[in-house]
Amino acid sequence: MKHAVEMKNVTKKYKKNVVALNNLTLKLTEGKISSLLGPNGSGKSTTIRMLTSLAYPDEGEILIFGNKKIDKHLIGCVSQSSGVDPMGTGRENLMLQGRIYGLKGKKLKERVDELLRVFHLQEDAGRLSKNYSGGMRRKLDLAMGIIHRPKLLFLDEPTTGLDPEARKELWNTIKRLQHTDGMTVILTTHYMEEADELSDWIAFINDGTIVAEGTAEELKSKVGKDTVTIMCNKQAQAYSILQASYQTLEDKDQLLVMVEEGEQKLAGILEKLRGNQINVSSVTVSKPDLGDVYLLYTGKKLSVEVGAE
Amino acid sequence: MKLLTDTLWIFVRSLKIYFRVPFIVLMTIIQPVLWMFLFGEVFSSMADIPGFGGESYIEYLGPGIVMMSTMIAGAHAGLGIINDHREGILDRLLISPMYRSAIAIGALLQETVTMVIQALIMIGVAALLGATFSGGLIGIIQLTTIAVLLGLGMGILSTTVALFVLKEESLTAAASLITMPLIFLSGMFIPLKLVPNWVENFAAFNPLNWAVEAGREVITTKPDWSVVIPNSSYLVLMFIVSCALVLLAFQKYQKTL
Repeated sequence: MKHAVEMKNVTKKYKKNVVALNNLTLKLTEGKISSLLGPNGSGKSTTIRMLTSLAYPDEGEILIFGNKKIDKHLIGCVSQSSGVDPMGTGRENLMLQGRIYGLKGKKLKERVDELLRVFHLQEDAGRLSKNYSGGMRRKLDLAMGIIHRPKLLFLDEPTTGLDPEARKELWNTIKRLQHTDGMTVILTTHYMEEADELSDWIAFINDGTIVAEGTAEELKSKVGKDTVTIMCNKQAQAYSILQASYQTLEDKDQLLVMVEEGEQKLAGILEKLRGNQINVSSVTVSKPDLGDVYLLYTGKKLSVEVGAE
Repeated sequence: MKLLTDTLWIFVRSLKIYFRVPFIVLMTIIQPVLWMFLFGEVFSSMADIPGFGGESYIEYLGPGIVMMSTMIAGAHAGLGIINDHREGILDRLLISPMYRSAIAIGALLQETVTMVIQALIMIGVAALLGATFSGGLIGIIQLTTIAVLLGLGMGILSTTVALFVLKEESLTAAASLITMPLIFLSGMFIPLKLVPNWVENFAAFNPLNWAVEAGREVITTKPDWSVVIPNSSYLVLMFIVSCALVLLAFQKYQKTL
């Protein structure tokens, strides 16, 4: 299995005391979609900046396709802060980006036309991109990132600020790039469902180091238990009854019961409550998701993180 | 070859942006024209002050306003790179295989073109108001070259400051703070022998004054080269030093990423 990216004991400090990456080691496989997840300031964007040669490590080694020297033609990047020139038209942005990567003449024109078609930007190609919607600008951004058919594509929070429809569309495009063009994609995101949907491999970063990695299923299985959420009358009594048999938490007006194979245990839990004349008004069973993994490894609630964006 | 083509694409892009914002084009021309007209008219009797030299005031003021206009344009040149940083364009270019120097040289070429246009307009306006430019076409070319040299030096320094502050408001404030004293502590409006000694001493270190002194000479029929050569050399030196500083600023910028 070849690695597109290898980071060995990479450390990066800003000013004197701010440690952005702390002895980070990471290997990402060629041809796969890998996601880097973590809270704000965990080191995701610093990692991307280093892998794209925008920033340099203080210590450690970075190999891209086995080489220390990064071949800039092999990588494409769609960063958080866009990169689209608002004072250029969609077509001009693409033409300039293509020229920078050495495309010219008929080949360049054909590639630009192809991307405008694929990303449904043909009709707006002659408009200044400052007049584009957020979704259109993001599509143009992605088109610019892949104009030179990179082998390795970095997407730094590519769907932040997009509506659900535009997000789904972008997901499909990213999958297509991997499947049909064999591109290695490295993604950072705050959206757990995005990472779950797209990633072959997920690495959680916290405080500048990798705290967990694996496939989404592997990571979710590490959380282990399902959560049975119960709303009922006599909550205090219900809590003491359930706590005797299961790991139970009180969360405002509901009880959270952590059990393995929650669906099968549900009947027994409800039986215990009914036997004590406790009326259950609602009950749900949820499987662990990446949000739970996030919470487990970063100690931060996802809702707060996303809300902060 | 790649350096040349990279520079060309950045130059073309910068030029397009410049002409797509007509307000900026208009302001960079109207302001110096107003300076030339208002100062030329209001202070026209300055030329009668004993010790002034006897020539008409617009003859005296004209080259100074040409220099001032390119200097002010240069002082604001860093705004472009701040905008590119904010939009993520600068990072996209730095990630690409483009020569880094092309990013700066391409933008400077655009500044050169616009400064030449600006200087020629100012020269035209001064001529309309009565300045004679007795040195002819050669003198006008030399005057324009000196004006562009001053403007570019200031432009690169402005880009250097921009890469440190990365905020439009901060750069605009710095530009105003620096250009205002440079304008008044020079021999642009009045001969230095008529001003207090400390102003004259300061003017010896003032790039605008170097350009004004040299510019006034080159448009005459018999330029005093002992004035032109040292003052122009200082401007060349300032250009070289500012180039070195901007490279350091780029390195510092990348260290913060």
